[in-house]
Amino acid sequence: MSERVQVAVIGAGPAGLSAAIAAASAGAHVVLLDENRTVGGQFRYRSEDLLTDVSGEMASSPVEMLTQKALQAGVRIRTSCQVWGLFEDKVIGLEFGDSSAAVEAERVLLATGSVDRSLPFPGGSSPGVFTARALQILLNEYRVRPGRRFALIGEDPLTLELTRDIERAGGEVVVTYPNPPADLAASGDGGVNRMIGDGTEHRIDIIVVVAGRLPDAGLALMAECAAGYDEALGGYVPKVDDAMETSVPGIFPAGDCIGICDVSTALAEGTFAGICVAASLGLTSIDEVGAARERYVMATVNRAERLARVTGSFVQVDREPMGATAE
Amino acid sequence: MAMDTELSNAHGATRIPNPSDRLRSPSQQVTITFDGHGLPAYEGEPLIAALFIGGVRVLRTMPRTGEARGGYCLVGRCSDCMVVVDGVPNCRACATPVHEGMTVETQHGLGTWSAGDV
Repeated sequence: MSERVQVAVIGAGPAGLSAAIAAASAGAHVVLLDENRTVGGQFRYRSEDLLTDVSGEMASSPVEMLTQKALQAGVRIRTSCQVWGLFEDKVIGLEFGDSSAAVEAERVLLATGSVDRSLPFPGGSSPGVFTARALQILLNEYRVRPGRRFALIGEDPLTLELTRDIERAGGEVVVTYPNPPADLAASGDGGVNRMIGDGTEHRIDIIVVVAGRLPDAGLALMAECAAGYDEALGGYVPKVDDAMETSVPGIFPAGDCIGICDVSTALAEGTFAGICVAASLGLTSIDEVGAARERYVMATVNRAERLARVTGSFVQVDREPMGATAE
Repeated sequence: MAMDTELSNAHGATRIPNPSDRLRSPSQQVTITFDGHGLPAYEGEPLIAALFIGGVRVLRTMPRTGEARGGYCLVGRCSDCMVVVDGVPNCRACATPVHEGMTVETQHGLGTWSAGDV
């Protein structure tokens, strides 16, 4: 890889793929980086139902279609390539296999997504306890069912999706607790096989913690982008202006990393941010940014609300302690 | 080679047949070892998948408490799945692709480096 790139898109999930396509289609030279073996982000492991929903809007397998579009637009895709740092002058630290490199990017588009929240309870770190996404990766991507009898802890629309995934894989959901019981505890030698909840003992092989998602904003924070705590967005997130640029010129985030959102929103926001990046390079007119914002916002009511939230003022706030809730 | 792990699959870990559009391109079957036990695996698949199918649950023990860990997030963030691969400690089983003859061991504590690796 050369030591300078025009646009580096970090993360090849829905937001990153659509951003790379939009920027490259406007004439930018785009490199799309992802730490995983294949592109797709949550498309790799979310349930068939979600893929069908999104395919309705997109007419074919989303990852395949987005990948083809990206390649046709001239995007260079690098997988198994982890970005471990974002420094001054938009220098990014890369690791691939046994080597490492520093690459300077004129523009950085962060689409680093989100990670699972955790839930502490006695025995909750034992083998056999997984986060929701971990289980979906095992079941739907790696095609491995890690046990037979499952317990689900947490209330989230995702518990329904997980239940279907488990049952399709031939597993059994023994118990679901929408709210973690006060006496929740797991035990077992060399991995969980018993769980206590509300005074009842359950024989289980696997416990799945469904505790929501946390924006993965590490690179933006490392680059000292102004950020704020917003519980509705999922935590401490970088703020953007109305053209999706952070307080650090040349850094544009999109998707879950600036606030947890659904897949359709991530796709649309990626497209908008990609056009903003192209405009900042003089490849697209400012009018086109306005039109793109209009298209992004008009799709659904809650997009306007989201845009208002993510474009908060550039006021640096103190980071909330772990587990704190904002009013 | 220490055989300190008894592999039982009472919990019923199993491979799931592939649905049509998520077919993992069939790759070559290879053999790896975990704490001396031979395990079948597919070339290039994430190591943690092969270990789970082989009945392995405990991947590491913690430096201070000795408590067992066996993978939690599967996306390379939590450090719970670190094992010793071909003598190199702190390899994330979720992010390490399998190769023929790979030697894997439970990691105890922080792990130790083989002479010549540093």
